[in-house]
Amino acid sequence: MTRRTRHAVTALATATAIVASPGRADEIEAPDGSPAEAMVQSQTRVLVVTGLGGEPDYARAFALQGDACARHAEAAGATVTLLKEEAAGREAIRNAIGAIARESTETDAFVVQLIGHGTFDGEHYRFNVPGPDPTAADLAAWLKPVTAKRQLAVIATSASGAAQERLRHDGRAVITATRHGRERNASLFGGFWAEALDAPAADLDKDERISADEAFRFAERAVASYYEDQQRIATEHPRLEGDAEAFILARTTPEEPLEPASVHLVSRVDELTAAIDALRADRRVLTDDDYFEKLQELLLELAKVDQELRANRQDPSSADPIAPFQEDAKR
Amino acid sequence: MIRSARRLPGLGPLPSRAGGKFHGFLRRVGFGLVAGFVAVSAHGDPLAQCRMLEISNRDDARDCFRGYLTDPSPALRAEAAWALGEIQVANGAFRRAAQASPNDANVRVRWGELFLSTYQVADAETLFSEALAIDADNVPAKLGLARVALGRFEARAKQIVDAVLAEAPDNIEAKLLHARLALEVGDIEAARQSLRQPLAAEDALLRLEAMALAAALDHMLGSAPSAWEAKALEIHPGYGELFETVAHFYIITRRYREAIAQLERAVEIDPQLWSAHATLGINLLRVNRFDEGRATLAKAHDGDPYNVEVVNTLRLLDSLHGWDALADDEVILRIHPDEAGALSGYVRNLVTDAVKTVGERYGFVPDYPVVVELYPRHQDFAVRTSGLPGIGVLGVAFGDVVLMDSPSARSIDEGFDWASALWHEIAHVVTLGATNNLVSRWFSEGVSVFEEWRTGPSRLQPVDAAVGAARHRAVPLAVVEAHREAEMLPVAVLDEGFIRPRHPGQIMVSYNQAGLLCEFIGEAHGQAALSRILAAYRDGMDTVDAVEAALQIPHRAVDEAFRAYLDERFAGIDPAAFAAAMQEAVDSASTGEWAVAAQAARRAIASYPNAIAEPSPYPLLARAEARQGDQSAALDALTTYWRAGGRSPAALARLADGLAEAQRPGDALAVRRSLALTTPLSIEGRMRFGDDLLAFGKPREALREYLAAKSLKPHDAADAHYRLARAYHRLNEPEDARRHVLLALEIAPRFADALSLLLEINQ
Repeated sequence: MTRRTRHAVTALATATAIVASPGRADEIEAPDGSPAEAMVQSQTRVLVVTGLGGEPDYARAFALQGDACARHAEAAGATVTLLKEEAAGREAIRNAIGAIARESTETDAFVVQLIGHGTFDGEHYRFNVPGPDPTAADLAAWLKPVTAKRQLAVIATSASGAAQERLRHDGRAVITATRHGRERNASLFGGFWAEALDAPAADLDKDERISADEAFRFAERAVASYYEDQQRIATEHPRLEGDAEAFILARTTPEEPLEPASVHLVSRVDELTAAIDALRADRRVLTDDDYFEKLQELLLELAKVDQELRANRQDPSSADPIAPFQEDAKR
Repeated sequence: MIRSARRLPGLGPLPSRAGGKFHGFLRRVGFGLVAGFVAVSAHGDPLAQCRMLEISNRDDARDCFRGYLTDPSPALRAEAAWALGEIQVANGAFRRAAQASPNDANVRVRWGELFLSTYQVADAETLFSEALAIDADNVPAKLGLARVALGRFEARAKQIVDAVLAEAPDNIEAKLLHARLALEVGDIEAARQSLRQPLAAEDALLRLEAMALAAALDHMLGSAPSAWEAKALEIHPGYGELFETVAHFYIITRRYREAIAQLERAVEIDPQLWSAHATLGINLLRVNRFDEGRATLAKAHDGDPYNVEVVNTLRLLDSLHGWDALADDEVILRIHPDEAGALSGYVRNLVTDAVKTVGERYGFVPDYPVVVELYPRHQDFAVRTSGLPGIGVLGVAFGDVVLMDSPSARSIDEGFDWASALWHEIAHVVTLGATNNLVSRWFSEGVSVFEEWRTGPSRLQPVDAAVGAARHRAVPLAVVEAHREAEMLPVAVLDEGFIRPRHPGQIMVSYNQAGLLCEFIGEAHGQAALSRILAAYRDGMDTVDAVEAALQIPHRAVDEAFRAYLDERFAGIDPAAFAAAMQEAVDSASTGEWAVAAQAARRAIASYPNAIAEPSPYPLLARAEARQGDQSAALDALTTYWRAGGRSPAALARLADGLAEAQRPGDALAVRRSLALTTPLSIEGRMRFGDDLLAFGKPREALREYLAAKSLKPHDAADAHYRLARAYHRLNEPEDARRHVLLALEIAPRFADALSLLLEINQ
């Protein structure tokens, strides 16, 4: 998803929250009431699984990371399933994915996050859980019936790079802690991934939401810095395949509801951000002076609209909680 | 250009005039042999005639040696090949000689000498040891080991030589080594005594070496040129080792410009003396003559491609392309481009402050710029310093050139307080400059350590009525124990603790002893007494004379008074009680028994006040107090730690946050300043300090911090631009403010704070 589209989604998500409560996939009216502009609200479902730690320190760390991922996803409005400790066996994972497959629709988004240790025997990647370990091929097979067109698999384990090929699928982004299966040392990526969801610095575009792409970039850099600072050879190189920008995994601030009177301002914000994107695309054909003059013009208007929007905000406690995680697709 | 470091895995051909870090006296074994050294004959050196021809006519000498290349004796063939620079041939021949005569210790000695001359010291040591296993009384083998130790600056060199002389008082080789060792520690009289016999030796090459050492002795006494120079050149006009030897003593007394002059003479009369070219190149770098140094090293490399120091240094110089050289009237900085933006401001301030503060205290403020180079890789620093990786020091001052590990090379958690270390090195710049480099090692180190404690960025700032307040900076417990075990050296020979330590721990003890001695002199005789000692060194006095002249008491009385001072200073310090209390505190903390932990930490502090090195009881006490709900006591503990010079980033961050929460923004800012200085490459730390400065109404300083953080390429670029914009806005510099806020919003158009700032700027 381009930045332009994404900003459009931000505005729309805010607007639809006025009339829709989270968790429902209904057809709703557009905020301006136009019957021709009907929209479908989508649902994001998140499955978080923490595997075996092997040692108490790892077990504790994985549990904390899993909790953090689930908590942030929930706060961002997703429907979350968290499997951990003894409940995180192979069958439980299969069943959880199966349930999601049955409930989700094409317009939904689905995110699966596996945190723990992984192994690669030269042929199969395995995620270490109590009992038999699921392989990458198992996961790929279980994900097949999931109809959600936007999918994200995050495999934050050692050797997880080996799962990339198996999990590759149209519409599915795959994030792994390692580049390939031969990076077998216990991975740090999961810790930094969880940290990213709570780090304002990870929100690079300052839209108050942390996308999977932003979290990946934050964690990738943190992993590299760690090995550099320790003057150690990096034994893991995180890898992202596909477009992860569309998946919002956390918010840096709670979403605040809007006065209905502000909806037109949101539309204007959308137009302005789109115009800024277009201007940036044209930067090469403009002189620096022209570019920054035009940029300032747009930004000044955006600033004024933003100021109005903030002034119009309601007391959050008086409104229904909003579901910023949900991504409405304008059709 | 990258050169390969050929470490002689199989010994290749060696140019005929190559040498090693062990200087000319080692190289002599390849050319100027004496009868007693030669393995091939118990009755004399058949090659002696060839060797003597080296003096008068090198071509004839080579012809002479060639005649022995087909000799039936493999040992003789080895000697001839070695003399001709055919090192692989020599090595093979020695191997065959050793196989043929497995019980001949002398063959192994000579083979070892071959390795020593080609920089393979460990192999040489093995062969000398094998020779001694065959013949426990073999003097050349013992002296071979002594030379190995000498090259490594190990104290056992002297022990071995003394033992040889005890059994063979007339051994010329041993006397020459003895003289060299004595001269290295400034014992002029002993050196003079030892040279008396070698100067009259029958063997011309031994006599030449004695003359070179005698010339060096004169130079060390300030009597240059020495009459021995003319005498030696009369015997051998191309005897470049003469000036190379003199240069060696200038180098170890840090007089690099004088050394360079000698080395230039050495290569002038013997252009193929590659070891002198190498030493010259390295020393030109030490005085910041980079281009000449590089060219000279390249020449040395062309002549002797096996010199590891040269190869390493050239490789390092190649890697310095692209480094920033930032110069003004006071400081010339060479810093890695990735770190220049974050470090240059702090380094400049530290250098300027240290030059002024320390300089004024000792009456010498350099009026020339100080060169500072910071290396992110410790091995690069080591190569730049000594040509070889693996040295243990973290910083070094070559007169006005300071080389150091950068803060990225090792962290404060590893005990590297880089700002304090830089202060230490700048104090050397002062003491070296004030005395034209004539200051003794102990005094220069002593002043540097003392000034770290007294005036440096991590200096002791005593706290009245606080937890464990003490008047003095804590020293390592090993130093306390060394004093109590009477292991500290008298002032007259304190230099030996640095130059030839008897055990690895002695260097650390010597540093601290030197600092304590300066502290004692300052307290007992006044700061002026330290300046008087410095002046005495400048006037050419040795340690005993300088100390006695400055303090007007015999040096032994100084030792005695110093011991009494330490008795009092260390009174109450109980290493065993400290260790036990710390253990109890740590154990109790791990089980959540915070009251017990706090009590034990307090006992630890009482038995070793101001203990700031890891494991320090103060952060532990603070944690225990905080867990018990006494935030004020926690802040007191951390404040004492900080003011005593403690610089753990985690502890300082807790203290700064706690002080801010306690509505003490001024104190919080001071701690945050220490924290930023301690970890200058922390983006978060620099940003946070900038925020505090801005909140405290110091936008100019805040801007510097934000620029430093920005130079480190923060992940969140929009935020970095936004902070810069805020600082510029506060400074009423609207164009820069506008530029940065636009750059922030270009990245993140929905950045609410930046949008507000844009409106504010445009109002």
